[in-house]
Amino acid sequence: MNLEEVFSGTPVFTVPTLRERLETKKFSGNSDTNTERDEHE
Amino acid sequence: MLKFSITRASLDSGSVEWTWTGHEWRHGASRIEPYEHPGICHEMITDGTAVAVISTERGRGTDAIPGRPPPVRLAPDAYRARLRAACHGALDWTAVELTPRTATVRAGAWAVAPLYLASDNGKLDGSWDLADLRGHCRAGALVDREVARVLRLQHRYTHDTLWEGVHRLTERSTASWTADGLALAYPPGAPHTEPRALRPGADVLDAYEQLLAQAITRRHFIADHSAVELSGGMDSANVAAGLTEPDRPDITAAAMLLDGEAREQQIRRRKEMISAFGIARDVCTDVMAHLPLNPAGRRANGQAVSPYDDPWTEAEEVMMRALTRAGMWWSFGGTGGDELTSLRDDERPPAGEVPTPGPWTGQRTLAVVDHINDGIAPSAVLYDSTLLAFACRTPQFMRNGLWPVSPLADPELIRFAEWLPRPWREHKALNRLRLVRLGLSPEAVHAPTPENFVHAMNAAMRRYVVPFLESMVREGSVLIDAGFVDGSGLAKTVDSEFLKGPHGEMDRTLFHIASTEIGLRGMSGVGE
Repeated sequence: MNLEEVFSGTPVFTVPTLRERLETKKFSGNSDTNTERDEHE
Repeated sequence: MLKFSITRASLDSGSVEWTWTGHEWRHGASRIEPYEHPGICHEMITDGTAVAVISTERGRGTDAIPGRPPPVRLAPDAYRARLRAACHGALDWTAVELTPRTATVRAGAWAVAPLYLASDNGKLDGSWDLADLRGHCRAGALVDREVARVLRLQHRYTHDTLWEGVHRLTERSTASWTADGLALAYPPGAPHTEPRALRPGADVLDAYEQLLAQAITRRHFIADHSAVELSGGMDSANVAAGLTEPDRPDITAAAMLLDGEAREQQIRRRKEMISAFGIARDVCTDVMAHLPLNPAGRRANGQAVSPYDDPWTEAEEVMMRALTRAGMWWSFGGTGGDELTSLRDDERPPAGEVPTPGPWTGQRTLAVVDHINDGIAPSAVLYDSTLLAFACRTPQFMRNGLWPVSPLADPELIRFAEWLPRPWREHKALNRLRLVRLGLSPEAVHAPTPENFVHAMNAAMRRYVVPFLESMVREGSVLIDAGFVDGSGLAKTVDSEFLKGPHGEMDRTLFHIASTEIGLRGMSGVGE
């Protein structure tokens, strides 16, 4: 699949900072307690 | 994918000494045991000096490697080329290479199966099942920052485990074991990308369907031995829709059924999805019958349960055994879906503050709260939270003879979703719009009543978890004795939880104190 047919512009790749990584908070899985971890951070 | 125990003596002798016994390679006291599954390939190769075991997820159209012969002798160039190719595979892989002075263990970017490592007394032990390393787990040698992460729900993807000397080989990491000991090295941080504009007329849903189909069929699986965990959520529903093609009419669905007001809705929505997708059969487990810490479950009956296991491990065990009895070998699921459609840091409101430590927090935990992020892994190819979810659930699948497949964690889908403009990711619009296009009803696409485990966890807290915490205060505990949990503070917390009525909202975050304590007791030599 050629994604250049879907998107325009030039892609920018960077190594995420620690903060950006921690902001990806949602956690996969079936746990209510995992959901609460999201709220904690 | 591998369990092994390597002695120093076997490193220094010839590669021809390794033999296949029927379920593992052996050389003296050393052993390497692959995970036997039709979706996983294993081989042992040698160039006459070095010997390597490569374990890989089996790609589509790839022949299974028949039998487990003694090391396949290759010319040095061919040996290096084979090892290099395996270490650049698109699916999950683990490689162990033994040379006269060094054992080197490498993990791929997927890290679906975790690998825990420990060494002492001239021996390197490794396993995807942490319980196999419990001889190395000492209650008197805990890693303070990792205990604090687990207790404070600030989980991090890292080489750390709760025990000193026991390490998790994180994605793309390399472990080297020499006469000087065991050393783990992180890889460089993996780049990610940011949203782009869509071309006029671009069909985003068509692109999503194609990439999801590619992610599903990238690996070998047999449809009538495959199940999909169809909870009713958007992620697993999209995986199920992609999995159930007309030429795959024999897919099985599985789920843990909720309780409370969402139960009837979940049953109704799943029934519609199962009918719409053409799923052949359904295996359901009633979560209320198998609550966390219930007396018949894994945690309460004395098994060595990893503190990293899923909070719902008791119910999952019942569900996985049912799938195995039904002849399932693969279990597809929606892990990675939350991350796929998550908003970026600059797309959401500022995060709230980390809450003030509860009264149960011990001095030893308080002393390291500023060191939670020390020593964590660099940016991963997948997302940290997906990798933590794998580490949390995969060993249980494997103990039950299953292999979990998470197409939504596929790196090409991640890149696609990172490029999507925000409206496609917000509130899982991508997944919902696809289900709308497939003709699902408004109720199936937007569940009016939230379907989650709050009701079940409240019940588990009242029946089992708070009484267990009370027993920790009364009878003593590893966490209290070590200073990570304050006994009098926990006693006050327990008292206030006991005062809550039968319909009161329990403090469900306290569950992790209990699961960590049980993990430490089962895995460690208490008091050592």
